[in-house]
Amino acid sequence: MGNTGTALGGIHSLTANQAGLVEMDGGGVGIFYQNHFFDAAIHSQAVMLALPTRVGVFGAVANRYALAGAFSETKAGFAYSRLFGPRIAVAMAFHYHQLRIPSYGGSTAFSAEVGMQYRSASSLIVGVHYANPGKLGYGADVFSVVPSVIRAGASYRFADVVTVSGDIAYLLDDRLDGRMGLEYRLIPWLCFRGGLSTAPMQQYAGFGLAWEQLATDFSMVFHPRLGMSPQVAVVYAF
Amino acid sequence: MRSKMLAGLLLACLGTIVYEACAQAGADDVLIEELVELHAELFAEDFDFTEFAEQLAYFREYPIDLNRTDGQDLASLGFLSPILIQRLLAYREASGEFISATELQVIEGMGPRLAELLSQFVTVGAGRSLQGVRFADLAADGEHDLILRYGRTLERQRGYHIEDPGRSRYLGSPDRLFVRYRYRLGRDLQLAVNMKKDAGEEFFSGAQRYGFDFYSASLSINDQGRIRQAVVGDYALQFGQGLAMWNGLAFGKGTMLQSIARQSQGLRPYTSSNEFLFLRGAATTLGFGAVAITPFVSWRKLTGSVQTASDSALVVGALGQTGLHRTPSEAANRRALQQSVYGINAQYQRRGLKAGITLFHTRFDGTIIPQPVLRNRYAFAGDALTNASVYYNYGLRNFHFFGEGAYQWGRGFAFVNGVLASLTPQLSVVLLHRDYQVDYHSFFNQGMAEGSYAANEKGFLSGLVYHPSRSMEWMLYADLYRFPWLRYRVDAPSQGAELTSQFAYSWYQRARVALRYRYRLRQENLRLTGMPENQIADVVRHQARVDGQYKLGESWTLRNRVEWTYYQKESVKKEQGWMAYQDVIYNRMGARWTGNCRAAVFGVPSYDSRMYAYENDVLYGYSFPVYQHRGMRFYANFRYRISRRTDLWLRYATFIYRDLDEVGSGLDLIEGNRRSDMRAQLRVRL
Repeated sequence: MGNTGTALGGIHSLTANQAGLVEMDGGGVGIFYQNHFFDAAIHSQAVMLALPTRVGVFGAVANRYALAGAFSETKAGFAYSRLFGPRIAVAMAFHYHQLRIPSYGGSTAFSAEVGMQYRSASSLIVGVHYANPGKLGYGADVFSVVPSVIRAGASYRFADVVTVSGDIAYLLDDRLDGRMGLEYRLIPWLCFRGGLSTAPMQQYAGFGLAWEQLATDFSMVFHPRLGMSPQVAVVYAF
Repeated sequence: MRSKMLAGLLLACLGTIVYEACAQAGADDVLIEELVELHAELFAEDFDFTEFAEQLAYFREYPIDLNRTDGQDLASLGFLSPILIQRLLAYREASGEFISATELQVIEGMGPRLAELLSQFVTVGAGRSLQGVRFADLAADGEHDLILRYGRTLERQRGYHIEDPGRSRYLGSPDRLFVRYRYRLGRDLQLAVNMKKDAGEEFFSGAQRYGFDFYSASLSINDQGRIRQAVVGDYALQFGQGLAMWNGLAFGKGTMLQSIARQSQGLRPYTSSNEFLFLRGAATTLGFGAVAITPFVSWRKLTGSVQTASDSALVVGALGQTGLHRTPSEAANRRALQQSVYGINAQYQRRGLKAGITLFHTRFDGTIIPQPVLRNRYAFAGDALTNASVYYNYGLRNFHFFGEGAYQWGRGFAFVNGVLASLTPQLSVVLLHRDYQVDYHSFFNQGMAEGSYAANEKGFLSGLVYHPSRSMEWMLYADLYRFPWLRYRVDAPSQGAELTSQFAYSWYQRARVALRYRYRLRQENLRLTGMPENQIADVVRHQARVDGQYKLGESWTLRNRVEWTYYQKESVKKEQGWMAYQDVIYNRMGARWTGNCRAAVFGVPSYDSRMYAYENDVLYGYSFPVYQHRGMRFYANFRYRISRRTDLWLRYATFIYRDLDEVGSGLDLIEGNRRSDMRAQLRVRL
């Protein structure tokens, strides 16, 4: 979906706009894996858990980006999302970050994220999300940052078969990224996805399979210079 | 049968229909611009789009019968997506024959603009023309159509005034002459003749001692029993997606995004005056039910830069594509090389499936050896090659799949595959993947490519068209591509990207506004002082445009455009250009005088931030000039109806530059700040 997500729902909201968790009507657990640029040494992994309750949806997420033996960054935290009235969803999340560079050292940091979605009755969702508004970071001893990003987006569902989603992300190091994604559900258990982002210019393509409570998504990110990065996600709903 | 046919002919002979064809030719210009303008760079300023315009004119005169079409002729209109054609055919199958063309509006995806456009070219229940009728009967009803065109640049250009025979200069006069003759018997037989003299070419002397520099003629028949089409003389072949064999005009990326899925026409007579992209000889398409076989042979003399003609061995560096033979060296290279081509195509077409295979051999009577530079390492060298290609188009429900795989015998492959998908009634998606190997070559390759032909390129294009209502359309596409080997002015493998988006709003039959943004990234050589070789730098172009069109009553139309462009070459320069124009078009049914004019102002610092704007011209004349420097552009174009069958066109166009004391360069250099052209054209139909 072109790395969009500010105005989408479901368990993957844990890595995008947590307000989308309110769409879940049952619990879910998921894992995610990405191999960057077909290079066995660089990869990302994530585990996700979401539990709807009467007072809102609680979620937990941990993800790790690592360059084997040389660098790893782990982010773990909790999220909480709930509806205010029938249309407005608001979420907060807190994350703990750990950076490790073997034979050099490491550092830790905390950050927060806030998100909101307006979910209209007519399949339109509009969302905003702010990651790390406090611009907290690892401090002066490590040359690395916890990114601070403002995102705004909208998604629209056509006739229950097509979802189009668009985001604008402003990275506070002065980069503006436009993102666009599309999902087409061909038959109930198979859908195709594609997308595009502008900074850097990347294309995305993938498909999703759903079988009873299990959903599996495969996708590929195409970077013009660095090549392809395959991703896979498996989600079990309970 | 015969009386029905004659009635059809009589109808066609009634001046009104022919007359309407002329009045609507202005609308065809808008269509051509939409279809080709996004790759304006690839066309010469005076590229001849006649073959397409004539096709539109033909269908105005002999409209496509909605109850008989198999979709092929609808596809040749250029503006209908294959999915829409499929739907139209499916509608006919489901609801029975069309009773009236107004039913078109019912077909899903057929907006009011398309329905209006299409209704000009279709009919219901037209009489079939030739069958059962003797040739002699028809001869009396044949139509003759003669166009004489004259044009020249009014200012004195340097190349015409050099006396020294040792220097490069134009041997001929600055006059441009064009003669076009068509003879048509009903729908199914046509003789076409074109004769052209470009500015600077000699006339009845020198290399052009037989008069015009370019002669072209074709005789073609349609639909006579097994023979679906036969052409003797100049013809064009279009198969698959154009990777191996595509002559004549090829549409590519355009704001009509669906034109990216090529809908090949097979064999057609060649009727444009572009001097390069066609074949000369004989070809026929024979039908055997769902299978069509097209054998073809061609012999042509081509222009080539002769390098050594010592002994008996002819060596040519490159083929000339412009068709200009003005200077002593251009004239010497004229008809330097003989090209012979023979081959065959077989195509199967049934319901939604069209699949074919093409095999052909190209041979020269000399050897082509490209300039020995690194970028030409994989370029074609030799005197013969064999090409093969397979292709398919397949429509399945709301999807249309298309693709082609082409092979140069003993060398590289080229592949293109794509899909048009109409996901919901409002939303369509276009995907196109291409992978053209660097050592793939065909002399008739016009596949969809960012480069000038489909080789040395890999890319993926994805696009979206959204019609939230009948009056709105939003289009977005992104294309990312790589050139795995070096190119002209790019001394390393490079890459690029393009993003284009357009939003259009129409007020039914009254007005239309379109906003467009286009981003392009390319890489180019960068020469840094002190470095032993060129570096590669990013070149970024942003372009934004607003287009408007308003109908003021029955006769007057206003059209205008404002365009801005930004150019940046990494560590070299940044610049901005702008342009604005206003068109006034007068076109009243039955009026003796009709015409249009444009006034434009522009400020474009250099060729790097150049802009192109398509212009109205005399019927079957085209201009697509480049705007650069600062100044004004003006043109006026009039048609005077001398009688029902005789028309006269006059056109005057001028660029007036500020702060320039010479215009152009080389032999085209003009002293002063002006460049003006005039054209006059007479058309007589009998």
